[in-house]
Amino acid sequence: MLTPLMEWKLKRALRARRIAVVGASPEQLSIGMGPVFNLANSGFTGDIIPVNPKYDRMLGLKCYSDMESIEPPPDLAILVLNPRLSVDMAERAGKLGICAVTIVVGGFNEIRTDGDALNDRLREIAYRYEMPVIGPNTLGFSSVREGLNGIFWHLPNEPGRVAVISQSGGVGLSIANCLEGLHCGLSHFIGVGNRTVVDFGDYLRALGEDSGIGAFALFVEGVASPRSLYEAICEVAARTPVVVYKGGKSEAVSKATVTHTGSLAGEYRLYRAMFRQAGAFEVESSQETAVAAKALAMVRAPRGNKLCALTFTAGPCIVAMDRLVMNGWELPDLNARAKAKVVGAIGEKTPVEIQNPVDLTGPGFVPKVYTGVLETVLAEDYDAYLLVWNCNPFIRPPLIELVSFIAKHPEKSVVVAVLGSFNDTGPHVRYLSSRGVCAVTTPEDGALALNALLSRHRFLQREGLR
Amino acid sequence: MILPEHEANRLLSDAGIPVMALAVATGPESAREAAGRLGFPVALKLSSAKYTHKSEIGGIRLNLNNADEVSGAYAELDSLRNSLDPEAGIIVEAMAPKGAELFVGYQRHEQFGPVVSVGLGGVFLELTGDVAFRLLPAKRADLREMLQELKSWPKLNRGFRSIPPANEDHLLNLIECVAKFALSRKELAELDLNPVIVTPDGAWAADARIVLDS
Repeated sequence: MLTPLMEWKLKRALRARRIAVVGASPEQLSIGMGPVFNLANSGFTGDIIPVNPKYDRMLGLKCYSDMESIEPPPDLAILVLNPRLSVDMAERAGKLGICAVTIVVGGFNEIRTDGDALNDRLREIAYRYEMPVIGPNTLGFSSVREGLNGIFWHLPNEPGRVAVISQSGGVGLSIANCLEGLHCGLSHFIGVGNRTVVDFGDYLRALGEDSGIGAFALFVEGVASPRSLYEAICEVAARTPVVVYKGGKSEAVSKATVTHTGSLAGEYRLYRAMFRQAGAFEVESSQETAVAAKALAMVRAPRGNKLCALTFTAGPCIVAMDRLVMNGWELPDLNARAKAKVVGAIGEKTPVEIQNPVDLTGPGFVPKVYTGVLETVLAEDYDAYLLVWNCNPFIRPPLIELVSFIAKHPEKSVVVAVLGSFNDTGPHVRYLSSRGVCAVTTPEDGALALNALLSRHRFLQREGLR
Repeated sequence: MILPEHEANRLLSDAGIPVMALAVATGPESAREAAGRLGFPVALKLSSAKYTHKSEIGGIRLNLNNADEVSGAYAELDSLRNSLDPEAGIIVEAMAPKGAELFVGYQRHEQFGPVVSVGLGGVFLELTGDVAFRLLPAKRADLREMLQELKSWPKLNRGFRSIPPANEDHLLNLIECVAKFALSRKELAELDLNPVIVTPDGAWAADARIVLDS
């Protein structure tokens, strides 16, 4: 548990304006280069302060010999040092009144035999100076919207509304890369590391009231106190949707074989129940994390479970519908008046009987036909829509119309599945995303996005929030 | 410390949790008398703190329809008691009505805190693993979601084969009572109600295992 002062300092550190990188290095293959390079390269308008007694300048920046000679002291010190030196330096940072430190290096309690003692000392220092410690054993964090790209590895840094908080730097980056593939920007990227002082719940609470965050995407391996993670998710989920990807599930399998019923749980089953109860949406891969987080960050939760789907190829809609209907979506048929209008929009070539999903077949890829039918079905009484478009680089997808028609119905939840090769879909997804329309690139992802949204609706309903 | 069933039964009953009425028999005559009072058919069970899986040691006699059957069952359980656990009691219990058999559990988990669970009960619990969990305290809507996570619940709720439909509200009422009881008793480490019989008209714990901190 952080003290109130530590909570305040953590919030301030996440928006730091003066950042010292202790152990900074001009060597390209040194981790000490990472934060300096990233900060300098991400449009950070605050002060970047390399600290290393061996150098006078680094990347064109003045380099300090120690933290004590920085005037005034920085808000945040990123320590890129060995474990023992990191702890010593954390103590000096505490004395200087620096808000928080990030300890990048691993090798505390996870591997070293003397790690526990080092950990205890680190924790003692943190509480003595009421100074949050981020990590150890972490990439660090980036507050992307502030241009504060403080991690030491490369990170897609398009600013946006998804906050990634990950127990694994590697999986966190994988999620961030999937988000970039969907042209969905980040608000924050946080590697929580060993969580010796600052834990998941503290980051969630520190960012819980940030209206610039549309969704949290968590990767959780396991925590010492799942109960406090549960409580933190409960606190933020009422306001901001939370997506959780849980790693390390298989241990549960062996535990589940214990005979008496009290131990039937297996840890993972308890995690799963806990996430659901707290209102988090659980997913099974980096890509799913990105898709669900994007949808929840961009699209308002539907008011009900009535869905209409529009396509000109049946197959993608069928696989999406399997997943959607299984999750509780309903596909009420169009009424006679709407059907007549759809037939009118398609013209004389109307090939098959019009139902829901609306399969336009051949004539559907004519932009005028697709958008005409879209305008009709959007006016009907549905809560959500899945719009499937198959790319053909020689046919213009009706993106402009899509954006303007969807904008006329802000109360409806719309997901567009733009199907095609990565090269073909990329520009379309980017265009739609930049104009507030949620687009994904497979029918399965389209279904997942809508399922995440329906789950959000059910949660809000369960909590009496709508 | 594991409580013998008759003590667990009394604790639960005092807490307002619906349980099957039972009496401790002090001898064959007392067993027949209790059976007459509870009304036939009855069940006789060995209530031992050492052996909590009664069916595995043959410690249960169900559907005893008259005094002679009660006497016979008492003699059998008495000899079982002498060989397994002389401290055990023999209890006479009213037979639960025909209904769906579920399991309701509670545990105070080291990391997750108080946790309630529900599952397909009887001996099939460990076979099917059809069980769901919620952290306590939980709202009724959470408990309903927990129930709906069970694969078997929709069928039991509608009525499966010759089993009458299991009423959701009665079961949720019972789970709520268990949750309230568990949260009010700090010394309660574990609680297993297996089976809980659920019918269109009610839900009753037909067997109980309670573990207290020693």
